[in-house]
Amino acid sequence: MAPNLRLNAVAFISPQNHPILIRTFMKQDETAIKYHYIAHTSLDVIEERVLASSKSSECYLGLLYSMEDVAVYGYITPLKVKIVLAAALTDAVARDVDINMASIKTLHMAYYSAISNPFLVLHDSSGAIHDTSRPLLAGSPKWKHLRRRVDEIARIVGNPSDTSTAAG
Amino acid sequence: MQTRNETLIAAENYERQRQQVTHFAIHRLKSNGVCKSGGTHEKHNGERLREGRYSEPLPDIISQFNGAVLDMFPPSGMYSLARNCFVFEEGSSSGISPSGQQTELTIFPEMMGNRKLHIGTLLGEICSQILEFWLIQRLESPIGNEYLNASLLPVLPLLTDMPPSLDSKDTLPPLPSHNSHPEISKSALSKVTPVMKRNSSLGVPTVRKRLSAIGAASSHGRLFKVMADFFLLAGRIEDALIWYTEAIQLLKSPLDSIWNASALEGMATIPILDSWSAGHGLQTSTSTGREPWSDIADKLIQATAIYFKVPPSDVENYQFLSYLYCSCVLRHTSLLFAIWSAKGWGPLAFTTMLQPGPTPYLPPTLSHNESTTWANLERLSSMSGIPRTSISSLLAQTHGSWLLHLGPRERVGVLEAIASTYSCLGYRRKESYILREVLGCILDLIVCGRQEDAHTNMRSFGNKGNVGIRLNESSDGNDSILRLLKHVCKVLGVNLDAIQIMEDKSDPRSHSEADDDSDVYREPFGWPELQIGVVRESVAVAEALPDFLAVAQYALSSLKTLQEFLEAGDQYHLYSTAARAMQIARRRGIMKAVEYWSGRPVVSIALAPLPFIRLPIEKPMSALKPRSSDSNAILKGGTDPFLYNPRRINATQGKPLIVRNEALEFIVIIQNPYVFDLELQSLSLNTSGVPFESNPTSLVVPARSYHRVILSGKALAIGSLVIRGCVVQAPGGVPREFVIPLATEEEEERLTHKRSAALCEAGRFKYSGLDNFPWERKNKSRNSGSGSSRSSKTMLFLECKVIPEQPLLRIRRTTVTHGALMLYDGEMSSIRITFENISPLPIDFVRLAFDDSTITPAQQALAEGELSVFETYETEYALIHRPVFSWIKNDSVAIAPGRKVTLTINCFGKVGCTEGTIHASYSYIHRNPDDDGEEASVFHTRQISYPLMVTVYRMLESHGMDILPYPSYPMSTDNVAQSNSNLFVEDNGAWCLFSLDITNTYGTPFEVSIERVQEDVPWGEILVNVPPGSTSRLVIPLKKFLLSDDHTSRPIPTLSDRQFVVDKTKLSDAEQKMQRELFWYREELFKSLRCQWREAGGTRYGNLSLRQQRLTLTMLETIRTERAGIQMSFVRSGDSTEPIEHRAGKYHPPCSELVYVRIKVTNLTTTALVFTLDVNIDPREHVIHDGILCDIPVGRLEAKDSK
Repeated sequence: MAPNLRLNAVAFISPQNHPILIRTFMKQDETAIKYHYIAHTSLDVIEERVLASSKSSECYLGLLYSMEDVAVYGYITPLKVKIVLAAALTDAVARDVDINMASIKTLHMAYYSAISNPFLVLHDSSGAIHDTSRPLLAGSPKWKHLRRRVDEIARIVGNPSDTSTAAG
Repeated sequence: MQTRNETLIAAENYERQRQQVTHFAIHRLKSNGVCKSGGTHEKHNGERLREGRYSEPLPDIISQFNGAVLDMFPPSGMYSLARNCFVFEEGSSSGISPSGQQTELTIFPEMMGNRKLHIGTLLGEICSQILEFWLIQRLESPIGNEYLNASLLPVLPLLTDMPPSLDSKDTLPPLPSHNSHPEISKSALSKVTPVMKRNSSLGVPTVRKRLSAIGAASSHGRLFKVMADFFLLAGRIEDALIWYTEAIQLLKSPLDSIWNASALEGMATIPILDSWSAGHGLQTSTSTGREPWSDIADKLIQATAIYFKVPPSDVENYQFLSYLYCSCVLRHTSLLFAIWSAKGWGPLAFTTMLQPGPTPYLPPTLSHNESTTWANLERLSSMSGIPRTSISSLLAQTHGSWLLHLGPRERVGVLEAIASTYSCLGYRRKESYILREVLGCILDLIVCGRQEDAHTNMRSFGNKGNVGIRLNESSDGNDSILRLLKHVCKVLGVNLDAIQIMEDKSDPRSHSEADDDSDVYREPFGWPELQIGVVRESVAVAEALPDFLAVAQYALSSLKTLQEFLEAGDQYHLYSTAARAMQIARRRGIMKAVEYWSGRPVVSIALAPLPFIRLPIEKPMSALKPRSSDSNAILKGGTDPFLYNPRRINATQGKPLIVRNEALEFIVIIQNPYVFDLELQSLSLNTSGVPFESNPTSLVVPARSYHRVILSGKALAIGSLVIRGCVVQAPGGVPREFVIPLATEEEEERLTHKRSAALCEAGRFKYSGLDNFPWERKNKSRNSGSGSSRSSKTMLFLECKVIPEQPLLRIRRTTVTHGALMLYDGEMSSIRITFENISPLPIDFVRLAFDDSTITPAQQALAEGELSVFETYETEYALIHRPVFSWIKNDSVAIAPGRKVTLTINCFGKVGCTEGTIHASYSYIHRNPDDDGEEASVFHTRQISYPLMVTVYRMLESHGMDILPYPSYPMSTDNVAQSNSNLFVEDNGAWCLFSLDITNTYGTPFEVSIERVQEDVPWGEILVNVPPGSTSRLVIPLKKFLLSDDHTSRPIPTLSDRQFVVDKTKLSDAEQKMQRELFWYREELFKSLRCQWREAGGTRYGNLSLRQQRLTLTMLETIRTERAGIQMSFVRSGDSTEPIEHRAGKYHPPCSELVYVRIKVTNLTTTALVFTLDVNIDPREHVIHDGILCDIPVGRLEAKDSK
C-alpha cells in the first residue's frame, strides 16, 4: 500500500471561478485562508494546463505546483468545475499520482451526487437581488451534504488501513 | 554670474540624479547603502558624483567635500572610501585653476564636449582604484587569507583590529567577503559589465605575479574564488574561469560548501558573458542537440542544491544563507525567463539578462499589450522550449521558509523579483499573492522605520544614511504602494477604483451616466473570502501609510462593491474608518473628496400633493362663456359619453400644476442597504427649467431601511419645472446627481428589459476568470450592444408646470354653527358664508358648486338605467329642480386683496341628505396684460370647500291624495254660510275636489296650506293647522281640465339629454298611452297646486312635495273634463214662458202634461266633434215620450260650442 496521503485541503471551484466549497483538514482554523489562496493561485496553472491541452479530454491535471509544505493537484470536470486538492508534501509526491487521481475522482463523484440532489438550488441569483444578507459563497449551507462526503473521503484517504470499515 | 549659475544647474542635475538613485532605492526598499551586505554598492556609488558646487577657491571646495563625506561616513566606519571630487567648469572666466594639484580632484574644463563619456571613463578609474586597494593590497596578504578562512561566512574586523598592511596610504580594511560574491556576480550581469571592458583597456595591474608572495597558511580556495570574482568583474573571463576551476577543486570540504556553490554560480556566469561578448548580438547557431543553456542551468541547479543542503551551523548565518539561496534560484529563474521571453537563446535574451532590477528590460515579446494573452505566452513557451511551469516551479523554490530568514529588505527584493516574474509569466493570481507578501514586508519596514525615526529625531539631524527608511516624511513611495494594492485587488476582483477621488468643487452632473442601472442585478465576481481579506488589508495599509484619501477611497469602494459579502462588523468598521479618514484629510487641508459611493440611494421622488385649497385647476377660457345646459353635469355625475376618451387620460396624467412663489414639497424616498446609519451631508433636488429655490437638507438614514424625506422649495418663474433627480452628498464627498426618471411604462419596461437581459447573461460566460472582470465586461457590453437602444430612449422626468401666482381665499365665517345644518323636509332656508381674500391679488371670479349626499345615489341610479321612464323623470326632477343647495349666480363678485365678501346660499331640505359641501372656485382672471403679453387661453382656479353636516327631519307626511267629483247638488240657499267656505265654487263649470291627508309626525305643529293657482280660475287656498301626531285632510276644489291629445301623447321627457335611452319596459301601445296620459295629467295637477307649510309660531317655512303621490286612473277620470257638457232643462211646450217649477235643483213638472226636454250639448274639447245623443228615461212606464230617444243627431260642434 502506498504511504498515507495526508489531505490538507480540498477546494471545489465553479466554472466562473467562484469557490463552491473549501474544506481544510488542518487543526487550526486560521490556516483556512491560506488554502483559499492556494486554491485561488492554482487557477493560474489550471488555466494554463487546460488551454495548453484544450483538445484532450483528460480531466486530471496532475501536480499543479508544490509550495512550501503542500503539493497541489488539480482536476477539472468536463463542465469546468475545478477540484483542487492540497496534500501534505512528502518525498513520495511523484509516486502518489495514481492515488491522488483516485481520490480526486471520488471527490468528483461526491460533487456529482451532491448536485444530483433535485432540491439543491444551484443558482439563487433571482433571489439575490432582494436578499441583502447573502452569505459567503464558499461553504454555504446548501453544500452540507457535499461537505460531509468530502470529510469522509478525506478520512478514508488519510487512513487507508481502515478503508474497509469506513466504507461499510 | 551666468557661468556660475550654469555650474550650479549642472551640479544640481547631477545631484538630482543621485538623489533619484537613492530615492529609487528608497522606493523599492532596496536600499543597499544602509544595510551591511550592500556596502560595496554604496561604495561604488557613494561619492563619485560629489561635485564642486560653488565657484569658490578649489581648496574650499575640497574641504567642503571632505566635510560632507565625513558627515556621511564617519571615519570610524569600517568601509574605506574611494574619493574623487569632480569639478565642472563653466566658462574660462571663472578662473578656477588646478592650483592645488590634489589627486582627488578632477576638473572638467568647459571645452570638453562629451561630458558623459568622460565621466564614464573617470568612473572606470575609480573602480580600478577600488580593485587595487582591496584585492591587491589587502586580501593577498596572509592575514587577509586567514581572515577569509576564519569561519563559514567570515566577517572582517574593523580598521583598528587589522594590523597595518604593507604599503597602504590609509588603513583600509579588507573586503568582507560575504558581501562580495552575490553582489559582484550579480552586477557582473548588469551594471558594471559595460565598464569592464574599459577597465581592462585601462589596464588593471595584473595580479598573477604577485600570487607567489602569498603566504600559504591555509587553503587558497576562498582566495582564488574571490580573485576569480574580481577577474570576472574586470571582464577577464579566461582568468576568471581558471581561478574558479582551481577554487572549486580546492573547496571540497563541507565547511566550504557555500563557497563552492558560489564558485559554481560564477562559472555559470562565464559562458553567458562569453557568448554575449562573442556574438554580441549575433545569434550563434547552436546545432548541437543540447540547448546551449542547459550547461549553465545544470551548474545553477547544482549550486542551488548545495545551498539547500548547507548544514545550518549558526543562527546568525541563516539570513545570509537564505539570501544566497534565494539569489541563486532567482538567477536561475531569470536565466530561464530571459531565454523564454526572448524566444530562445539569443541577443534578446542577453539584453534581458543585462537589465534586471526594478525596471527590467522587457523584450518586445512581453512589452506589448496582449503580452499576457494565453496565445502569446504559449507561443513563447513553445518557441523557447521552456514551459512556463518550469519557470514557476523554480520560482516556487524560493518561496517558503527561506524567506522568513531573510532580512526585511532582502525579502522585499526577492519577493519583488518573484512577483514580477510571475506577472510576466501570466500567473496573475500568483503574482498578487506574492505582492501581498511584499506589502506585508513593506509595512513591517514602515513600522520599523517609524520607530527608528523616533530615535533619529532624538539625535541631531544630519545622519543622512538613514534617510532611506524615513518613508513617512516623503509621500513619494506611497503612490507606488497604493498602486500595488490596487493591482492586487484588481486581480482578486475588487475594484478599489470604484469610487474616484476628485476635486472638491466638481460639477455633480458631469458623471451622471456612470451606473444609473446599478440596481440592476449584479453578478457576483471573484472569491469573496479572499476579497474581504484583501480589502481589510488594503485599508489597513492605506491607514498605516497614512494616506487618508486612499483609506476613504478603498473603504468606500469595498463597501460599494462587496456590500453583500461584508459582515455587519466589517461594514461598520469600513464606514467609520472612511469617515474618520475623510475628517482627518479635511483637517489637513486636502481639498479633494471622494465620489459619492453608496450605490443608488434615491428610490423615488414624488411631488407632495398640494393642500386642496392651494391646488390650482386649469380651465380653458371658454369655460367662462355661458353654457346652454348647465343641468347636464349634475345628472351625469361627470360620466363621459364616450367609453374611451383620450383627452381625458391626458387630463388626468397632465403635469401637476404648481404656483409660482409658493412653497412646494417633494417626497424623496432614500434607501440604505447597509447595517449602519448612513449620514448624508446634503440632499437637494436637481431641477431644470425655471429657476427653483430649495434648501439642501442633511439627514441620517437609518440602517437597512427606506427613509422618507420631505424637501421643500419654491419655483421662481413661470414655465416648466423638471425635476431630474437628487443631488446627494456624503460627508467629505463630492455631490453626485442621481437621475430619477419618471416611472412611466416605457421606463419600467426598459428596466425590466435590462434586468432580464442581465439575468439572461448571468449564466453565460464566454470568458472566465481574469478575462472576465465585471468592470471590463460592462464596457464590452456597452460597446457592443446597447448603444442604439440607449440613444433611442428618452427619459421622462417628473415635470411640473409653474403658473402665475394665484390668490388665496379662506372662509372667514359662516352662519352655520358647528358646521351643521338642520332642516325640515322641504324647508327653504339660506346660509351666508363670508370669504376673505388673504392674498395680495384680487379675485375677480367666484363660482360656487355644491355637492350633497343625495346626489351620488341618484346619479348612480340614473347611470344604472334600471329605472322606468317615470322614475327616471322623478329622479332627474329631484336633482335638477330641487337641489339641496343653490345659489343665484353672480359673476361680478370681486374680492380685493384683504377684503371680505359674503355670499348667500339657499338651502332646501331634502330627506336623506346627511352632508353637503360647498365648493367655491375662484380665480384672478383679468390680470394685467403686461404680465402675460397676450391673452392666455387658460386660466387657473382654486377651490375652497366648506363641508356641512346636514340633518333633514321629515315632519309632514302626505298621503292619500284623492280627487273626487265635485258634488253637483244644487246649493240650497240656506247654506249661505257654506258659500264662504273654500269648498264652495261660484262658477258652475266642471270641478272636482282634490283631497290630501297630511300627518304631522314631528313634535311641533305646522300650518299647511294648499293654494290653487289654476289659470282662469280664481285663486283659492286652504289652510290647516296640523297638530303633532294628528292627521288632517285638506280638500280644495279644482277646476277640471282637459289636455289635448297632442299633449298627452308626448313621451315622458327626460330632463337630461341622454342619448340612446332604450325603453326597457315593453308596453303595449295602449298601456303606453295610458301611462303618458297619467303622467301629463299629474304634471298638470301639480302645476296647479302649491303646497306649503309653515312652522306654527316659527319662522321656518317650506314646500310640501306632492311628488310621492300617485295619480290613479279613477282620479284621472275625475280630473279630466268630459268631452261634452250636457245641460238639461224642461220647458213648456208652445210659447208659454212660464217656467216649470224648479226648486232646489229639482223640476216639478205638472202631471200629465207634455213638456219639452231641452238638452244643451256643449263640446268641451278643443276640436270639432260630431255628437249624437241618447236619452234614457227611467222609469220608463211613467213617461210617455214622443219622438226618438236614441241617436238623436246633434251635428258637428266646434270647440266650446254648444247646441
